[in-house]
Amino acid sequence: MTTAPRTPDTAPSYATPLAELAWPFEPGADTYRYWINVERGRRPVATAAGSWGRHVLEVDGGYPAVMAERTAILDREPRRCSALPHALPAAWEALEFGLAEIAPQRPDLFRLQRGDDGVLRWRNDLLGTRWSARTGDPLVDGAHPLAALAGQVQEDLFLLGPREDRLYVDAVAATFTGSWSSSFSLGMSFADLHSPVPRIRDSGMVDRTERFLLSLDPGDVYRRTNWSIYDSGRLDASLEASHRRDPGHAVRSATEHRYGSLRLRVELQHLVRLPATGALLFLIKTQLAAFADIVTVPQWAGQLRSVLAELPEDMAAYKGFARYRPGLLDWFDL
Amino acid sequence: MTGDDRLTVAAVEQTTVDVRSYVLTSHRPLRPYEPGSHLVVGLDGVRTCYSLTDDGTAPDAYRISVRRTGRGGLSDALHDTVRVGGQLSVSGPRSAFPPVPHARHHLFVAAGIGITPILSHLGAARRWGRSCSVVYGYRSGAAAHLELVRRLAGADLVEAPGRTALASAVAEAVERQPVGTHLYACGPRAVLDLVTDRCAAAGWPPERVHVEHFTAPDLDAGAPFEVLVRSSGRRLPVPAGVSLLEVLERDGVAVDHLCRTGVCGRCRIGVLAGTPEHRDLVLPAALRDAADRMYPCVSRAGTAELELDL
Amino acid sequence: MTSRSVPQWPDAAPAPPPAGRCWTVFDLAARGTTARDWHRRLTVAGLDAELVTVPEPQLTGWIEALPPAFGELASRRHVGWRVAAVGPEHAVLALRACAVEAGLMDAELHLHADRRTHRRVYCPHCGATTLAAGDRFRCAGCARTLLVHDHVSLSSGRYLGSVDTPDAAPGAAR
Ligand code: HEM
Repeated sequence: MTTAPRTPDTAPSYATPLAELAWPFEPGADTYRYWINVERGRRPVATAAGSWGRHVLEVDGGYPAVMAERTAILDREPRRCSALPHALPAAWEALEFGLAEIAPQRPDLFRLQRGDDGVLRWRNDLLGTRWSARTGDPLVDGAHPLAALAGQVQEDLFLLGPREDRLYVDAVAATFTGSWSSSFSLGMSFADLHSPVPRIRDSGMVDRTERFLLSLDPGDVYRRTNWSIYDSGRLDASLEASHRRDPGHAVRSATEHRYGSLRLRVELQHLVRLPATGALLFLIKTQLAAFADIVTVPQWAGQLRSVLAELPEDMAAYKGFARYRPGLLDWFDL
Repeated sequence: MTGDDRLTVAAVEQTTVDVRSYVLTSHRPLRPYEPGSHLVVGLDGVRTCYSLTDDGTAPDAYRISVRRTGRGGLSDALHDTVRVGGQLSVSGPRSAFPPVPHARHHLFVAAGIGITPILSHLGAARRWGRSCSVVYGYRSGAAAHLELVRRLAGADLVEAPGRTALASAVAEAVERQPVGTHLYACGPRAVLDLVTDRCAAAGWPPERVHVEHFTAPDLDAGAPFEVLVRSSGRRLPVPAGVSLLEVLERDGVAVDHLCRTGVCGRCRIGVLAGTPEHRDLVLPAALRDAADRMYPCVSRAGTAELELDL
Repeated sequence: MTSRSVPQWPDAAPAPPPAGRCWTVFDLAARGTTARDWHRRLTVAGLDAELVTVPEPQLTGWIEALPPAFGELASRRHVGWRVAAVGPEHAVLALRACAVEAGLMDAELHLHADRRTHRRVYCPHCGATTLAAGDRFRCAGCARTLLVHDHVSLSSGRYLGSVDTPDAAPGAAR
């Protein structure tokens, strides 16, 4: 069907240590449904294998590899970063917020300084980044301030702004999203953005979520998790890159009973109400863990199997495993 | 800083005959705020909202300007009792009059002490290079921050000494604003009514007009009604002259709140059944018919009963 | 199921409200006399209304030239200006995108699509926009065969497309 030759899939495989995985299921729950699963951020949570959630943006052991992958994608497809003109102040606020979050995590490598002259100076010895800029400059080290932040952090970044009591996507800098198109989402309303998601669109959940987001106080930080099933360890599962994937891969992994190599894809999402602009900064940190590894943690194996077995068909399809669910469940029982 | 906090009065300046500006500082870093935000100041159990006058991006202090009303109340008490070195209990800043960042042009209209949030907006517009113009109406000799407004606004300022001059300046301005303009007005009720009337006559959709009342209107006592609290199933009568917020508090239902005058928007609650009678100043014009929410500090019921999502 | 981001148009075109100060009514190769009726109605209501008519053969080229042209038109108008448009959906949505870009808001727009003949579709693989006649089409940018999703960005007036993979995004039309 595809007329252009397929670009070979050379994306590296990525794995999140189980000890850091933001396990997305409630303790003791053996079913999963969509709900407005938000809680305040910056509080660590213990899991069966470790803990997560201390930071809003986090520099972890995968940082060098993840940043290399991000740089490669952005060099190839600059449209992964885009912003409406009026988003500049919010992007600047996001940049200053984000750098201030990560700087103390690696004082040996990062250095953030605000001079008496008002100039902001950033230095990242790991990536060899060094720049100085003034709040409000349209470009920081040659990039839009939100793109400049994306070049220093592992998270995907979105800025949303209110208009007539609704939220709209004002800026995007994302390379590792799930199977949707971030470059298409610029300018879209929060409700339209969520319209492909089954169940939530007609249940009133989107409207309630939006009202919650609009009522956040300046400076508030909330977080939530989301999850899906994916067939490889590549971080970039975006629609932008879907032509790069081998279309038979998922089917083959399933038919060849390589269920252990399927990945649980967890999105740790943070929502920050930036105080000076009122914009909402939405951050997604993507984590990937192979089923073969997950089942080494007994509580997780049992819970994941129950959730996958019970999940209604439309949600299973949306989460990417409806086609091979029976075989997958058998694999758990081996 | 969202809860109550104590700030030090670092400076007090007599801005005009009846307006004093207070510079409030803290040993802790002050949170940035959106242009048009206010601080809630409490003194002897009374709380009032005052607009912050800086642009809010990187505040070194919180600055408010307070006009003596001569009618007692918190503003007069501040003039009478607060001195440099003293402490004030504040909460916020809170944003209820923010700029619309995607506006193609911003028209600011201020009357009297209503200049305070407009000054904040003007500073932010200048900082970010947003296209803007200002109409400032004042009584001769009593224009707060006039020099600063002149310096910031430059050629984009129309000064209107007196009500008549203001009325014609507003009438003229709203006729020839570029497509995509948003208007922000702060001043006494009569001026705001004039602005909204003029805009409507010139064909502005209400969504383009944003007003901030610096004095809450005096509200009538209202008719009695009943509320049903969903979580407890309790039915509570709200007598005339008593606010729904007070009734809820007396019954032990916690509702977050600040200003108690329908300005700050903090006490918003959800309504599940019945129609609220909105008496607040928070809901934008386009949402005045909203039946799913209300501000119980001032708003009441248009139906005999309301069911509350509490 | 059609997702809610896809606009739903009523069968009969509702008349524009007699609001605002002055109007520009765009007849984008509309069926019947809707645009002319709107124009007459507004004029009768005492509003200053102009009618711009774009015949069907010129529509595609007109849409391509619209972004600068609409910006230029808007720069000669003031708040109080309203815009109405009727015609095929892709033209109406393209006009809406330009209008919002110029600073107009929904309250100032009165739009109606009287048919859906084509869709302007965004390709996330290469970033191009193609005017597509069916559910499957060849991308004008990267020549891949794309499938149109039931997903619309009102701000850009485009549908989403993508290559068809077994694990294609849910929401893709199949
Ligand atoms: C509390 C806040 C939020 C909640 C409760 C929420 C809820 C959800 C849910 C339940 C899904 C389906 C996920 C799945 O099963 O894989 C989803 C998908 C999605 N969400 Fe959110 N979300 C929130 C915030 C946001 C924000 C701020 C954005 C802004 C970028 C966003 C953008 C998306 C997108 C683009 C999708 C994929 C839609 C598609 O398939 O095209 N969400 N969201």
